[in-house]
Amino acid sequence: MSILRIKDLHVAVKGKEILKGLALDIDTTKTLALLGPNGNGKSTLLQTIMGNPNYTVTKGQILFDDKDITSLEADERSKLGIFLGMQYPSEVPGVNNVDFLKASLNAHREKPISLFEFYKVLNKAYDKVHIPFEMSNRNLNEGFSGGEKKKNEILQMLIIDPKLVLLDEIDSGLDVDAIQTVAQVIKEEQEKRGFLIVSHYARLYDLINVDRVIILVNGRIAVDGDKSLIQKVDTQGYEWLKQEGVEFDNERQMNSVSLGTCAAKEALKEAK
Amino acid sequence: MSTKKIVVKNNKKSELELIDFSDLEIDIENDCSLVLKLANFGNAENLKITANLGRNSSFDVVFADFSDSNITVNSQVNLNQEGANCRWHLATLSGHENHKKFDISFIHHVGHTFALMDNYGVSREKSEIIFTGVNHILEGAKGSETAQNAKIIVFDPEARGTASPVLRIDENDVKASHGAVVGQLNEDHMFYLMSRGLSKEEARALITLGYLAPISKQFSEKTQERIMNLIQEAM
Repeated sequence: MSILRIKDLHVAVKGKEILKGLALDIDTTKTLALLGPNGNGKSTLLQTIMGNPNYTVTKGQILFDDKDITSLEADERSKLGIFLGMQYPSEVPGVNNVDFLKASLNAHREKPISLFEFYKVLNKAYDKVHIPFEMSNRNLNEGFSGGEKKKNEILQMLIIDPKLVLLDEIDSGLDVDAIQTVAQVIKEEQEKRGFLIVSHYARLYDLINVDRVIILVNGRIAVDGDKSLIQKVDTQGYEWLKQEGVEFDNERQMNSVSLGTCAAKEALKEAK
Repeated sequence: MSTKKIVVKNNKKSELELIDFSDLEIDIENDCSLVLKLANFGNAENLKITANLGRNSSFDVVFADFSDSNITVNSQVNLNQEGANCRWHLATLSGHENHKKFDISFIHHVGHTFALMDNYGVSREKSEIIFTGVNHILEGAKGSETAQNAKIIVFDPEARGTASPVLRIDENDVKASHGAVVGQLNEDHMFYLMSRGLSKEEARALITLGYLAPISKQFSEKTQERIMNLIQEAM
């Protein structure tokens, strides 16, 4: 078992502070659901854990198995066993999917994998996520539908075999069948690795095991509880948090950041 | 260097691969076509390419420049008769202190002629790549279509790139488009690959390979191998 420990984390994007003192321990035997209204720092947390250089840690620390990873590059974090399934996976022109998957896999091994072993791993992964194997020869995410891109993220997770998996709205853009497929894979993998999953919908969480639920408001953890919170948010939204004394940054933020946007994007926009 | 003359006639469809070539003068007569694959690995300082296209002719150019030297290329394709069609695809890789200039022009003399230009460059170390040229639709060349895309990735702090192709349109009833991008490697792409464990160098190499390598597929196996080796060496 590994432990990700986040201590008093402050993160800014283009000078705008988004995470404002967040503390959290995640162990890799558990699945944690991360909820919260749009624009309150969920994606920022995931991107920061993975080491996206656009997100600046202004204070605090991130430790993985007691090793300080706060200033490590993304590839080093990946090699330690952290994986981020992106909300918007990049289309990388000209980069062949198989070449990329092989390079990713080899980056996590001492010796390069043999061709035969690689094709076995690849075939199995394609089968599991229900992507036709013929698509392996396409360019990385180029011309993929929204659902295919998300499934391709799950496929990469299977191939890289990380200890801790961060999933950022993996269910957005998926049709009902694809959500079933993705949920099925996650469920099978839950015994092997830890998950930190951001989603706006109860549907995905209903299909997997959730050990703990955290609601992020205004860059901090507002509520820390069990799976019953998902049902509550799904039926009542987030307004009830105000009655419980949770302070939202200001009304402007709550209103201007609508569905489908995020705080980091708003900050980037304002900085321009 | 002497000028090589290429004439395609009698309804012929030709395909030609030239390595380290000299100046070229090309005539593609009515209803003929030519696929011309050019690979430059050598030391040519100046290259001049002139082409004249007849009625319903087509001219496909695939130009891979992987030379480690200064070079200036001047190319002019004249779309002289209706139905003439030219597709131009150039990829160039520069390094050291090399200075590479590509002046690529297309003249639409008559109506219903088509030109599509794609120029790709990767500028490394202290080198410079310049893409210029004019896509000119003359008065009366109704229904013609012309497009130019130029993209340069500037790899190192002291490398330079300029993409300034020009559209000149003297007729109203035409379609024309133009795109030019000069920039660093896409940060999002870099982060995406690095988040999968690829080092900065591996990620850069893979993206660049993806950017320049597609052109190699157009060439014979032997030339392909030579191009891929040069890209890998450079990375």
